Amino acid sequence: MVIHNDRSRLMVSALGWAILTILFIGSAEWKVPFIFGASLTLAGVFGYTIAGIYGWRGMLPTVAVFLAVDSIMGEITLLDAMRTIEYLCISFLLPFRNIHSVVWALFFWLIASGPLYAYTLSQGEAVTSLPHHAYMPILMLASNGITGALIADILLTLRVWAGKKGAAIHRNKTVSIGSILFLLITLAVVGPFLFVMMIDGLSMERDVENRAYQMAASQTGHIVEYLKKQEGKEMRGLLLHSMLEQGKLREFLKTSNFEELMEITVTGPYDDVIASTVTHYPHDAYASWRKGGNVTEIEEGFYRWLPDNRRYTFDMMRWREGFFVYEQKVRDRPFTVIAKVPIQRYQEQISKDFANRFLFMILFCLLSLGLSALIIRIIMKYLSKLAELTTNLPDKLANHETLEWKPSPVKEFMSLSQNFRMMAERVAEMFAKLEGTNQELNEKTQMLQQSEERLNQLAFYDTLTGLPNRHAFTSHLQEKLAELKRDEKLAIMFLDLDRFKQVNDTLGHESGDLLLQEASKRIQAVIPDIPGAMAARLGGDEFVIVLPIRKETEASAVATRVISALTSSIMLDRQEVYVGTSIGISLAPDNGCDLTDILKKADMAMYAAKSMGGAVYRFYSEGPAEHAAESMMLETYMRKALEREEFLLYYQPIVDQDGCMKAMEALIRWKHPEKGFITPDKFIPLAEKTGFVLPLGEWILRTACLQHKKWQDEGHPPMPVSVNISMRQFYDSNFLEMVRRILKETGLDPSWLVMEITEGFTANDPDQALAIVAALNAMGIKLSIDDFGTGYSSLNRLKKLPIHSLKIDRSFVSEVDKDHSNASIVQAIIHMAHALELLTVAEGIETQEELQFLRALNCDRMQGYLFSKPISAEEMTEFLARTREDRRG
Amino acid sequence: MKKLYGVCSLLVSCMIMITGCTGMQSASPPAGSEHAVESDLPPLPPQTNEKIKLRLWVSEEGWDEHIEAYERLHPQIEIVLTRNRTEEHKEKMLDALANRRAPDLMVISKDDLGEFTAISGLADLRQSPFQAETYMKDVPPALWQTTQSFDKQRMFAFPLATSPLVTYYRADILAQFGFPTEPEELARYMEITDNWLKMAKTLAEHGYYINDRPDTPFFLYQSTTGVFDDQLRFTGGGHFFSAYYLSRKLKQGGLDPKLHEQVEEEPPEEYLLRSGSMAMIYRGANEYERIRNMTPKTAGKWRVTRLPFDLNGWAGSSSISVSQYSSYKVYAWDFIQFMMKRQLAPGQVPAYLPVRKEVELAGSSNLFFGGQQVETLFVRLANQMKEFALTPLDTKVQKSLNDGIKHMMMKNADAATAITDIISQIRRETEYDRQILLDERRLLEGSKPTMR
Repeated sequence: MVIHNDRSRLMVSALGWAILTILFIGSAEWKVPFIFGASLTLAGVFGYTIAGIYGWRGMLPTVAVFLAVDSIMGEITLLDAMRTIEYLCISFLLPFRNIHSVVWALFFWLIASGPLYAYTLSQGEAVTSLPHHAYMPILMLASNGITGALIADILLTLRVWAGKKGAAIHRNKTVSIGSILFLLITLAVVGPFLFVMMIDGLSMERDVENRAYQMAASQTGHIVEYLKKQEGKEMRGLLLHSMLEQGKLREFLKTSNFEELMEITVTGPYDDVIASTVTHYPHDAYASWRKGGNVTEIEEGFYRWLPDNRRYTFDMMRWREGFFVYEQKVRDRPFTVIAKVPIQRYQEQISKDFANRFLFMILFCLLSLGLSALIIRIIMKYLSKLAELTTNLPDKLANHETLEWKPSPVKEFMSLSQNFRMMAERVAEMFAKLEGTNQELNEKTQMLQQSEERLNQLAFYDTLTGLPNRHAFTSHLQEKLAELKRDEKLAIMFLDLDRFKQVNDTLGHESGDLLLQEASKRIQAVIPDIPGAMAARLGGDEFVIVLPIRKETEASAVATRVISALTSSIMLDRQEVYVGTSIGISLAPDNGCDLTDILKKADMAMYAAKSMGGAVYRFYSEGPAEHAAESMMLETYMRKALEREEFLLYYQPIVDQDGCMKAMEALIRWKHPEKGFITPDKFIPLAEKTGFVLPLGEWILRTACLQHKKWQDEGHPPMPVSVNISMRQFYDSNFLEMVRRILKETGLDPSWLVMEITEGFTANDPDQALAIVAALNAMGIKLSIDDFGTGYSSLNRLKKLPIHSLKIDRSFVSEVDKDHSNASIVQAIIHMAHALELLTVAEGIETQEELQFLRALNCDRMQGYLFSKPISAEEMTEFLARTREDRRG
Repeated sequence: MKKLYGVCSLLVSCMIMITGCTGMQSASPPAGSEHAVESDLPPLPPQTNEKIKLRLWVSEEGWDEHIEAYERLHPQIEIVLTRNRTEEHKEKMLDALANRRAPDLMVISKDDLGEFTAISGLADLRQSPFQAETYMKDVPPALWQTTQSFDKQRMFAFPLATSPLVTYYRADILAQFGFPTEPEELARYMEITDNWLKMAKTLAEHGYYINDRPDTPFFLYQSTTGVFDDQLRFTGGGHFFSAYYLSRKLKQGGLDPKLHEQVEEEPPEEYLLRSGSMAMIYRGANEYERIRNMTPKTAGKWRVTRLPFDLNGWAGSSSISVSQYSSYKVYAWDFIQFMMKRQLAPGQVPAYLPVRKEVELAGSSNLFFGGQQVETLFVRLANQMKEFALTPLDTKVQKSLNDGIKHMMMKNADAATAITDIISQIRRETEYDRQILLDERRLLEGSKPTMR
């Protein structure tokens, strides 16, 4: 790529050189005419530009091509040679001292070109010239050269300004605005000057042509009349170049040629000279006046003749040899009158005038430029001082340096100075503020870093033991599972301290915490040397170890070492305790690669190990022990869930036949952090079986009472709330005590509490059941028989029991409008309940048809998704508020 | 010493003789000797299949013989001869030159030469391919000068022949009245103007005349010198007084021939000769054939001698020019060289001295002139004669001069008044032209033109 760029740059450079060289040669060969041979050439512009951009290495081939072209087109003149030397010299000199081309050009003209040309003029063509002719060509050539250099300087400066690489003179790649201003002002002065001079010159030239034409036409008119009178022998004499007739005609020509301003010649039918006022021309050469030069027709019969330009060093000298020619044929006579008006006659006067104007204009330009330079110098001096003062201004202000803002008599500069001063003061103030802010920011940043570190510690590490927490463990395991290779395995060891609960319960939480810390140290001590191994605390007395292995034996060894480490006694506040640990191990990928699944399997294996008596490790495998372990694990989960407040109470409205909410039922929900909502049918049976239903039932009752009391306190209309009571709970010896305590704690009026119990509760011990119910009834608590119709209720007993309502099981309600059997049962239940003055509640209503049917059966209360699904306490709060608003409205 | 001089003189004489013999053998063959002429000419350019036609304009008789001779020598060259009438010849030539349609060669007589001295159109015979100057020493200088241009820069013609003005007289009539009859005796007698007047008076009393017109003395005197000198100053001076004096005497004495019996159509000269009243007449040597033709019955009675008053007059000449625009300049020059070595006609004295010498030596007797060797006389007189340069103003001035003389004669003005008036008149008439010509010549001399 770099090579490609270099090649492109080289090609562009070569192309630029070629174009400039063509323009240079073209301009040198073809000039813009000024007046009488004075001309303007742009060769200097391109020559100096080449010298400026390409240096002498570029100039050398350019002048070589130029000289070659020149020699092909004619011959190499003194001017061409001097021009070549000039450009070569200046191309060598330009890189030194950063001096502009125009200065070098002026210097060169003063010491070399000017004196040489003056010498040439004094020796050669202009030996008889007036003084004007001696310096006019030099003046014009010098103007061309110096003006060309000036324009080239401007181009080069603008080129650098535009961001191009510096020319030989601009090594530093920067341009001062003073230089640009001076060059532009110079261009603005010199450009119009040259233009005015050109227009002036052309106008003068045209005027001269007109004068010459008028004079020639007038005077040749007399001669034409004379020739018309020639006839017979006289005319023959003229044709024969008779000296007599020819002499007479010549005499007439002389008398017609006032002041001898013209050269008049009469030619015959064969272009032979009959007579002429000029005697020093060879007659045959005079007749063919067109030869040896260039003829330009100005008007019909009026021409300008100039000799071949190659014969003259200076073009103006060539014009001096030229003349205007007026040619008129004599009607009916074989003669032609040719009047030549030498340009020299006009050139002398015109050149004198033109030179005077030129000098005057040059002096005017120099004066203007000098004045401009002075003004620019003053401006630049002030700006430079200002630039110097404002250089590294921020540093100076930051270092509290004193700045001297000098006043200026120029209004704009004064304003600029004041603006800078004010800006500097403001910046200084801002610096001061910034410093304070910076300091504050640094402090805050430091604090933030500390907070970040702390947060990081909290987020990924257990605060008690310092081990990675569950979050860090999950990320680590996820990462390890993803990186697992074919011949690699990952052992996940799930640890649960044995007898930790007893320690905690007997010695207190602080001791429990110390135990956990010590256990952590010992676990950590086992695995420090194993690369990729990680120990983490998941919560409570649960630890986990992730261990990269190749064989199961490696996991077994580690497990053995951990068990061994934890089996030894632990000193807690001068008391020696023994805990031990059970370890369940699952292997990835053998037991799967899903993080949740593999962890669960380790957990299950741990329960299996614990069921084996503890202080052992067990690898996960499918079997009865794992199922038992699962139940055990679930129970453990439930217990932990209660601690972690994962259980929630939802409420489902119970409406009357009009759809008005008359009561609500509190329903348990388990929101597991990983498994989501777990339905009651999954855990209630296990809870009843394990006895967990007792603390869970207590939590339900307390929560429902608290919430209900809260609603009442908030002003919502009181309504009964039903709470399900399990059989095990009902017959628990502490049941009534517990109910009383809760009612007391919560302050709920017992009349708003309805306890739902399945219809078989009287089957085991009817007397005890009756006593409990009576006690409840005495407290003001209502009793409702839940899932009525599915059990074997003794109507006799029901009759004796002080129950409040019957809740028809959802299995009968489902499609009651279609299932006649269910309809009959429901109808019978409702009739029976009404007969016993019991309130009937149908649950599980999901369709409008079911509702209509139950209404028709005169069911008192209804419950189901048709009205509302069970909703959270917050949603119920909103619902109650909305209902109250509706009633008010 | 004398012995030494004698030896030297002998040696020089021998060298001259040897040179002369050699010259005669190579350069002076008898007139009409074709062999001699052929061997003497430079070689011509290689012949071509196309015949070269050289156009030649003349006004005189006698060219056919020469042309035939030349064409025999050069079969590839044809000379196309045009003979113009004498009085038209000059005008035709000038017109042709002005239109650049002139013939290759033109023969110009003495009376017309002045008209060609200051015009262009005729080649400079001193320039290549001509080599006239190689013959310069073989042509009398005075005669050579007659063909030089007015500005002396060019030689516009080459002289072929000249003719002295001579006195033709009737020896029988002079003898009848006791006047000398031998040519030289008579010439010496007539050197004295009174003798010539006496003879005129004596003869006139008997119906014989020695002057065919009143201004005969002017005619005789003018034949000896040009009208203008080199600076175009009028040359008439002292001899004009003599001429006017004699003419006035002739007029006053009634010595002019009477022309009352002249036939209108017949020229006076012819009438007078035919009538036999002319005892003496002055004409060019080249005109003796014409006199003989006019008076055939008087053969043997005529003699020829030099002019009265010891004058050597120039009667005429023939010069040949080449057109500047001729395409056959080399052939033209060859023809000129051929012609210069031949005698044009009886009485014509060759310009080329070797041939002239040949004619003189031939010494043939002429029966019409009583066996007199006139050709020898003509050559002798030609050798003594000084031709003079003619100018462009001659023709114009000659007429004014003749008119002035006639006018003064009629007025019977005295010589001083007449000559002064005539000279003044001529100067008035010619002064402007003279200045013009002199200025032009000065200009040309300054610019040194190469061609004109």
